Amino acid sequence: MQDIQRATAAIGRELAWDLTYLSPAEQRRFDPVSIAEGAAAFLMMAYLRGFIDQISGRATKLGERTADFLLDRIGALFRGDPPPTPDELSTVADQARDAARKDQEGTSKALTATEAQIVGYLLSRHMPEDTARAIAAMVRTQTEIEPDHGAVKPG
Amino acid sequence: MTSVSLNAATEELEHSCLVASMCLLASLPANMEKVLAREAASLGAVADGLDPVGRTFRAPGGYIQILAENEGRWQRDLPDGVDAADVIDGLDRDGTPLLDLLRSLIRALQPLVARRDGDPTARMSFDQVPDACSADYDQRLLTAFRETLKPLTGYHAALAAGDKEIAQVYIRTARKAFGELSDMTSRLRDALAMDGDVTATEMALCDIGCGLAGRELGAAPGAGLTPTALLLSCYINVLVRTPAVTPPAYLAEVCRAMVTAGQEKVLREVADAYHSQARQQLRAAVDAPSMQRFQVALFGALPYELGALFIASAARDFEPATGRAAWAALAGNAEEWAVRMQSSFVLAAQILQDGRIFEAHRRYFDSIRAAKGEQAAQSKAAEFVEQRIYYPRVTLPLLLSAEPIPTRPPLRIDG
Repeated sequence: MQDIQRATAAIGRELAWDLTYLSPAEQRRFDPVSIAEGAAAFLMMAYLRGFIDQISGRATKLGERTADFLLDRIGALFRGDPPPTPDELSTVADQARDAARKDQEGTSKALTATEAQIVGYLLSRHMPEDTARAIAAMVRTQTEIEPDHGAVKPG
Repeated sequence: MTSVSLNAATEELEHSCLVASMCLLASLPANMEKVLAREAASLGAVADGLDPVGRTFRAPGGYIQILAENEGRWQRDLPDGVDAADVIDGLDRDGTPLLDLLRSLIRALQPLVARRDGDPTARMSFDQVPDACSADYDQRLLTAFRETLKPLTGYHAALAAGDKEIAQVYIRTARKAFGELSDMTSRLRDALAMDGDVTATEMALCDIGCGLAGRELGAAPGAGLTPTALLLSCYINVLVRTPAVTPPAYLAEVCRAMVTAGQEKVLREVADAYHSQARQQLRAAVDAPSMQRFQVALFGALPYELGALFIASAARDFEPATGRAAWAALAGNAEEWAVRMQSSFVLAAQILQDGRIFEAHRRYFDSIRAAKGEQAAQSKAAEFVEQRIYYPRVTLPLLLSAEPIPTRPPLRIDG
């Protein structure tokens, strides 16, 4: 649990620099760190779910689903809705771990595809490309799904 | 000031943006003043040992209601459900908070100037204060700079018309003007540095002031100004940031001319390079080993962020609908960080005036620790560093320490 919290905090700190790209146009300023960490939690959730969908062959229009999910949930986050809890993230992380263990060969490809979908979402928000890639890479690193043995450390 | 690496065709725009960014702080968007007022209300409450959340402050032209830790609302009329008797009057003055603060700084500096009564330049600078506070000062400053920068607009117009010879003439004229401005700024800064006993904040304010002081720069080369006059000039020119709000018209003209000349991609590269340079310096500020280095880096970042903001805002306003969202996104992020830097400057100015602010912040974290635990206190302190950029990261242990620390005395006025 601590690892999940540490991971969302680390991503949140980085994301905080560019949170305006994710906020609705009319959004107020000076969002607290908790909003950035909440957005980070949704990015992790989208990444883990996207990975599960991808590796289990449910990847039809996956990019759209990932982008829609993030657009909807992060938009709601700015309106005061809660982010996923560490428990919820841990549960999905466990599912991702199981999925990776069952198909180690497909894991690497699925990770790359899922990371690309996170990049796609961030670019759709007009985030600069190098920043979008850096944040998506950080999400991938922090979730620590490893193709060789399918471990998902956070949680 | 270091330069971002860009191709030669954009050199003059880059240079103009650096100069213009510093001289056009007055052109920040309309809500800036309210954001600063809200921030100052919150800071003021913290300094007074009050929890600002849930309180309503009287502010210039209206009220600021602090709704949550980082959320406030400015409105003209007394907010619904708020009793007039509960409104806190700390900000009910005739200017913006920053304006009032800087006016009080200038009052504090009065004895210093009196000590140099025989110095006509210092006296002249002090006499400029009321003028600098006048409502049309920023307009007059802008007019002066538009004149200075006319050759640049002419260059792009000539380029768009395909007249390269005339464009070259404009380039030479513009470079000469910018070179002179740059030289004068350097000399002014050096003159202040020679005086000794000057804090980094004052130096940084001087940098901004020198950039802003188009009229003074044009009228009096740095060699003739005393350090005291320079310091006052800085404060005077920081004042011009607070009265509102004029779009940087000449810069919009330059951007439009560049797009017309088919240089839209270059324009975006310039804006991105500015934004990136600002980000780099902001990160360096947060990582700085001391408060002084932090402030210097922060002040150094501002012109670049404003350069990105001005270009992106101008492009957003005339770009066809297809590209507008991307420019708006960049403008939004650049503005966000420019506002945070402005807020940090408010704090820096308050610390100059009252060294107890840092201690007040420590007490604030103590109160969070008592109410919500250590993790909440650490999180809030980290927010002061990484989100609000009030302090460098190196101060976190001090901010969170319960040990008493020596506080910096208020700004010392001798004589």
